[in-house]
Amino acid sequence: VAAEPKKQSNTGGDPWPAKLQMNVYLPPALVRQVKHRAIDDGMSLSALVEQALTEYLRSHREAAG
Amino acid sequence: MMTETDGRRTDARKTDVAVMPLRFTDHVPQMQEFLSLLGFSTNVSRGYGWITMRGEEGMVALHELATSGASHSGETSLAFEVADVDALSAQFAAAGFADKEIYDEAYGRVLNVRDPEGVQLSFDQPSPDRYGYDLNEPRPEHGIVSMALRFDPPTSPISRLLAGAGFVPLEEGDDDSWRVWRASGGGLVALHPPAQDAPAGSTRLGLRTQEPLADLAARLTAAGHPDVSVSDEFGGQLTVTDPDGQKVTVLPVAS
Repeated sequence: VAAEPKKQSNTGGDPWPAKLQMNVYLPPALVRQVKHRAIDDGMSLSALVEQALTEYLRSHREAAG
Repeated sequence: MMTETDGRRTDARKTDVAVMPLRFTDHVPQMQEFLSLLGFSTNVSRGYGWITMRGEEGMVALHELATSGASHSGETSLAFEVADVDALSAQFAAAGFADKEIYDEAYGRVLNVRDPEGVQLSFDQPSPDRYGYDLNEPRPEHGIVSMALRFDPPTSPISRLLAGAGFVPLEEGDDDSWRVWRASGGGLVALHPPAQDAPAGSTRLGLRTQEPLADLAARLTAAGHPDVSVSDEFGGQLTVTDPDGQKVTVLPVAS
């Protein structure tokens, strides 16, 4: 999997042996924003989305909890 | 009809694939200077983290080792660039390749294609907006041509993948020595049987040039490269050690 700025391993420090590809449909403007943010933050797209979803689940679990 | 401006195609099709050997390195500035000396010209960059350079034909990419998953400075991988991964995927499908995937990356999109034996090639489609990257108008010199030297037998499955990507074999070499394939979008891939110091599946940076090898040797020597050598072997070849300590071989462009 390629990463910021280009190609990077996506398995370092990962407790799972592999990652799965997930296809979702998003508004083009949001896709563009997310990609630009990944470049600004020096992250791969996968790492940024993973971080965002993890934080969302944690914050919503705490809010619900 | 194909036309050329400053040696570059102006009628590029969206499925044209450019060869882009990718070097992971701790010495990006030195490698950039080295490749510039050979004739490559910087096209896209993001500091010294990522640089693409264009030759008269084909490209070379430099990736800072620290932000990569590569194991050591000097590691090189076989990479390609294409304008439209969807169109290239359709071309592969028409050629009988069903095992494919397209996914997004921050810088664009990627097509992976695998043959039935599991050999895989990846093709990058850069985002058209090039957000976060500096763009330069490349001005390659000296007729330098990018060539990825891939250590796999010339009859290996990778040759079928190259054909599916629109590569055409040159009229040189044979199935025992090597086969050279030309990309529709520029650059070459040479398939060479694995050797003791070149394990199967590994890739090295190989180059070809329209420039007389003696002229290139003189320029490299004047720039302080101490180990430049030129021989008449195989129709003439120049060898030099690059800033990563890797041996680079430069051959004349096939006549």
